[in-house]
Amino acid sequence: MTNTSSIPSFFRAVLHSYAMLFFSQHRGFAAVLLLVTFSHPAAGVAGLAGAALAVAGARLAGFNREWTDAGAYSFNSLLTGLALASCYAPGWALAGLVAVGAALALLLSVALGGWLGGRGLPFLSLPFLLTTWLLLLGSGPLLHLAAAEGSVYWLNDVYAVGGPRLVGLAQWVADWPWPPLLATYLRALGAVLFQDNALAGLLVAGGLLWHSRIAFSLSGLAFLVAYGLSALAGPAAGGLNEYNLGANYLVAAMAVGGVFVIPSAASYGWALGSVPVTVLLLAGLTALLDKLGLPALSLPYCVTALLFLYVLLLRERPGAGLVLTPVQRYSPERNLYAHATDRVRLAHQGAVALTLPFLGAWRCTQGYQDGGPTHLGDWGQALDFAIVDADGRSYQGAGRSVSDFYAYNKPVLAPADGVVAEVVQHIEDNAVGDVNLARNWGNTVVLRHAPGLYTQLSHLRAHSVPVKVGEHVRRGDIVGTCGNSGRSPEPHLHFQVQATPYVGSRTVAYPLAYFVAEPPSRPAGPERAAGRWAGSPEFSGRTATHVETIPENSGVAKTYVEAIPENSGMAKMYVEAIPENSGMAKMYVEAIPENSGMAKTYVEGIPENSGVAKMYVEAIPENFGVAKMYVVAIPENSDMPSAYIFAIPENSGVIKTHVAATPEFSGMASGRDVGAPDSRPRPELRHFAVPVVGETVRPPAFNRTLAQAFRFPPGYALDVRAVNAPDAPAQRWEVFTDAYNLPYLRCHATGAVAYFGGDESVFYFTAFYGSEASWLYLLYRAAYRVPLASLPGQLTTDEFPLTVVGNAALTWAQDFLAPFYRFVKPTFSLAEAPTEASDWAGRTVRLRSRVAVAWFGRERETQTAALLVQEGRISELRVQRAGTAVHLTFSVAGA
Amino acid sequence: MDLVKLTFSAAALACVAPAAARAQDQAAAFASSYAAEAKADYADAIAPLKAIYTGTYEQNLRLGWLYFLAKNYTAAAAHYQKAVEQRPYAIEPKFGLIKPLNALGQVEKMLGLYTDVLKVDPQNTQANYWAGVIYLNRKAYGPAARYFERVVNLYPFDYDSNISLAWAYLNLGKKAEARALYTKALLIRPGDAAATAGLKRL
Repeated sequence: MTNTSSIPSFFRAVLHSYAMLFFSQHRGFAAVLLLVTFSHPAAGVAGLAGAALAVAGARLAGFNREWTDAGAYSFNSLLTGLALASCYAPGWALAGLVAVGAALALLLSVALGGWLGGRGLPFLSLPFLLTTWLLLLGSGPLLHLAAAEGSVYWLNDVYAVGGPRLVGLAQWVADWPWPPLLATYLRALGAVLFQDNALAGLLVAGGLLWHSRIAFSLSGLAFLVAYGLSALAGPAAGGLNEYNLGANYLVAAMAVGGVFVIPSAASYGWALGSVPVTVLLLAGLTALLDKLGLPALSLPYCVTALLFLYVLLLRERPGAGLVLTPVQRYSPERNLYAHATDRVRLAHQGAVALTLPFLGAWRCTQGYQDGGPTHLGDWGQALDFAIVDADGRSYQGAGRSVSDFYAYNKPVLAPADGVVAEVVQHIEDNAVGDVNLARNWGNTVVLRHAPGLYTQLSHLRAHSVPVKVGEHVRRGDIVGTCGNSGRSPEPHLHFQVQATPYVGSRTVAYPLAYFVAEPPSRPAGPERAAGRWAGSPEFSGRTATHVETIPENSGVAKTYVEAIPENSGMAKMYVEAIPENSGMAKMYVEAIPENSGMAKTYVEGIPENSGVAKMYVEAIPENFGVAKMYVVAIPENSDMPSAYIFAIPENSGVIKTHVAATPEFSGMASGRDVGAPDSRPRPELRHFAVPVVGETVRPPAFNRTLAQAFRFPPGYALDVRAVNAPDAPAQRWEVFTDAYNLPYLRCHATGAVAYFGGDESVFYFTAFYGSEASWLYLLYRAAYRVPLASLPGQLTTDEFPLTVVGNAALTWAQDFLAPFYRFVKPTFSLAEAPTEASDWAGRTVRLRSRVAVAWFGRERETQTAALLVQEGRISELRVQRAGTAVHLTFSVAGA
Repeated sequence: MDLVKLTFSAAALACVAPAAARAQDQAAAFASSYAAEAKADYADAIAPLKAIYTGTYEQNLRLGWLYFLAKNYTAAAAHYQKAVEQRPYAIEPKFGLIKPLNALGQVEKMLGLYTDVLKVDPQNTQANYWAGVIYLNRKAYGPAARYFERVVNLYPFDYDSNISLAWAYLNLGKKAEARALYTKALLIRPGDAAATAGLKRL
């Protein structure tokens, strides 16, 4: 942090103190709150002074800088200042009291932060409560301060400031006929800032809505429940009418329903369930504290919130509904969206990565609980692997001897670092077809990788285990060879994960970190089931056909006619005709049912000897509103890697086409789903998945170029320049790690920060903070997930947090519904463009990615990007976004 | 409308000869009414006015007052009501009407009249204070405080509004403000029992 930025960062911290009153970091909201406090100028000054003193004190004393900058240490001092100024008349005595109070609240914030923070709980406004009580009790006998009168003689204050006109205006606003329900709600919100007027409440409510739709809806719902309860209890219940206590319901509900718990239907229930508890606490604590002459202030909210959060912490089996916020992002929306995507994307973080326990390609012959012959019940989460040839046979020759089997005596590897826990290797291999039911597991190695995480490798060859119990092994070390011992009629490898070190322990479902899977030759699995191959037996159930007419003299020789089964829900399918003498050999058509969520049809034709490597056709069904077809042809070894053909079918009767070739790296080329379903089963890189039966799996071949370019060790820095402004100073992006050892890229020019993670097989960004106009944001979206293995043509997809959606109206609508239903889906897809014929590990790689936002069946592309990676670094990034194109070049700083 | 009617009738009267004589009768009737009222003989005060009664604003106002003194509150309210309708902007008949309504216990109508007065004269101390008192009696402390605040801002050293606003604040949980006002009430009336009791409740 340089000196030039320390002054603004000081003011930012002070401003954040205001936002923190509502668990926010929204500076616009903070400014609104600051403005509202100044409706009583003395209170406004006292609050601001309290916050500023606390921030200055925290910085001087060297308390946690992150918390200081977030205003977490100073918002209690701010509250103390506001409260004191509303109790005592302005003057030197009050100034002194505010200074002492701010200091005390800061010390208590740090102390309670350490104590409660260590238990995973927030300290809320407890420091403010303790400080204010102490000062109220202590200042009476010590100081004999005059009571504050400002809020009584407010008309005189207003007159002094603005004369009769302002008095008229102030009274007009005060006398505005607010509906009583709304007025009570607004006063309760205003009371957080010790303001008792509806206008202040209205400003706070507006600011709260600006900051968070979820927090706003929680505050409204909690208020309605409290209001309903007070209506049931009768007019004597009071409490709600006392403006300065009504805030307790709202803030407690926001805290337990949206801030410290990930917002969901369950969290809303939890928040609303907290309201009756707050009502009780409010009545009880007010009565109790009255005896001491102390106001209850925000104590009921603090007690409720801590109670409702602490019991969640103490659960033995945390449910899926009420999830405590793992990383506080100071916005219910950000917390929710990050959680929703991270739960899927980063579920494996912190888990021990297990890799395939063999080299080369093996077929999974028995998967998890797939009804296989031996993997049953408690032992169901196990995998069997064997090596098969192109004909699907696992042996050569007669297959009568174990040595005829491809898998026999092949090395078996440690799937992760660990310690050998158990070795059995004295059991002789069975003859082919025999099983040893007495020694079910045969020769076995059990490895301990972490407390409660063991892997078992069984049916090893007799006396093949080179390791001993207690020996340390590294991932990839040979721990034996494949054999045919135990309940094994033919050589294969049994692999399972278990929680205990014994041979034959019950199994635990645990995914493999990464592997390349080639589906069985006949398509299977959910993503294939939707699309059926033309001419395949699945298509025989057709009942109606749709025939495309061929215009005369059009030179079209043949047409493949596709059938559309009736009532299949299949959208109309456009069929490509094959011109005569075109050399076109094959064309595959795949239709995807509309209600599958993928309302598109893909056609792929591969002309013979045409020099065109691949052609993808994407048709959009008619009722989608657009009757166009895109054809993307990618000629081999060409500078023009892609071409679009826009076909206008159906009503024109004539298949008109025009070809628009786009120059390489225009940013448009990646726009289509390049690499969409292919005619052949294509190997896919899988992350944290379990192989399914029939799949051939192998360890991925990593791409050295990508692996090196996306390694980003701390201290690594890139200089980024725009091509159209080569003389402008470069932006420096440098890699740092935070207090939790999480790496991030920071742009020195804009202050934007992008967190990233990954392993040997994949790079991904995890979070972005900062200006969305920054270049770093473009990279965050362009390289959101990059597989580091070489699998050209493979489509990698991922889901963004909703925060990347630019449309404010859409986002706000989604925000309100987000805890219950999410209809906006920002998606990411990336494919490696075929660039060079040679497939060596260090070659230049071109990646094309696409960001799209889908909602209610519509999909809108928001960014396309092309990333050139060569010589072990990111070299170029071209981004097409909202009509603007950005072309950036990169160089390694200091290289 | 009433004003227009009156103008027309006045013009008509001016054109007719007996008009001057009638004016003389009215002056005499008012004079004798005042004399009777001074002796607390309200029946005699009412009689001359009834004799010359033509339904003017002045007659209605006077009769309302005299009927009120004679404890005939219904008749008093009826005459004041006529006066209120004849001069809708005027505050005078409204305050007059409030007296018999108060005797009849018609608090809702009284509150309506105070708010009517405040529409014309938002700073009217009487209307603000008594509207506050009505809300205070209804335990509606929020609106009560709003009316008392105006009085206290206009008359910061007035005992009644100070102590009433303090009570409203106390019930609204605004204890700091209540303390300040009770302390002020003790300055106005040292040793005041109500203020001392209020301070003890804080």
